[in-house]
Amino acid sequence: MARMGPAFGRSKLGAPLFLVGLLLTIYPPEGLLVAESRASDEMLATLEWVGPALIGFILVASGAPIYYVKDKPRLVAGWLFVFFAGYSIIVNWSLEADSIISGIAALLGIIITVAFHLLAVRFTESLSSGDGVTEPLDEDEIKHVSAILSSHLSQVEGPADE
Amino acid sequence: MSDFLTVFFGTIVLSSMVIIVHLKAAYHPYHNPIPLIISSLTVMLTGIFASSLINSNLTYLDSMRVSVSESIIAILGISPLIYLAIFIILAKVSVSTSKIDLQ
Repeated sequence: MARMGPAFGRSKLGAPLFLVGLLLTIYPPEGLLVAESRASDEMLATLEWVGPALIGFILVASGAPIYYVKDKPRLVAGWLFVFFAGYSIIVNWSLEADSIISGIAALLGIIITVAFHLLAVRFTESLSSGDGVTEPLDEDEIKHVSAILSSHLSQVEGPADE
Repeated sequence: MSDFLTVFFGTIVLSSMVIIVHLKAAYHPYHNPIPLIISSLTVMLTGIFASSLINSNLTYLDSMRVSVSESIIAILGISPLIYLAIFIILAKVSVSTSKIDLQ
């Protein structure tokens, strides 16, 4: 979220929001409802494997082969974190019928919300009339663009000729 | 059944909140987020209203807090499946040796 939007106006909200969420997870405020306390405990317990898993995923993704070049130490360290997270899941996670049913309900909720959102995106895009065909460059613009291109091409070709 | 519906509508409320925060964070001058914000708010308010019908002894705010909390617990319950999916993708990427066809 911190990197969304064009380069000239990227939101600065991502990192602070993440930190506030993390702090509220680790130090929950007073006066929570019973369900909220349970959710807070569950989030805290999940952090035990989500933390190592995230670090591992980032290390593995950055150490994986790109054009046949891989960063082996990074890859090995990443997989150690990933396997540690997996071990933590196996030790602590128990899949019960209730959590499967709740999981299905959660997935259905997410799918329906995303479907409505996509319909809204489609509707919004249908409202746009578009900008039509772009006008061709006039004489001055052609001269200006040609000058820039010639300047760049001469700079590129210059060192090669020497 | 009421637990199922509480989680279902709680997830709708939570997902709509996430979309609204995403729209705010991803805003740029060539973006028209108003219809999307209106649709997300409508979906979210519908979810709050529906969860308040299920938890009729609670206020709107409390029923929203309860249903969103239950939905967070449900999502965390299936989060190891997300771990598994990413694990498989990264395992494939780590051992990938496919040649690039330059022709």
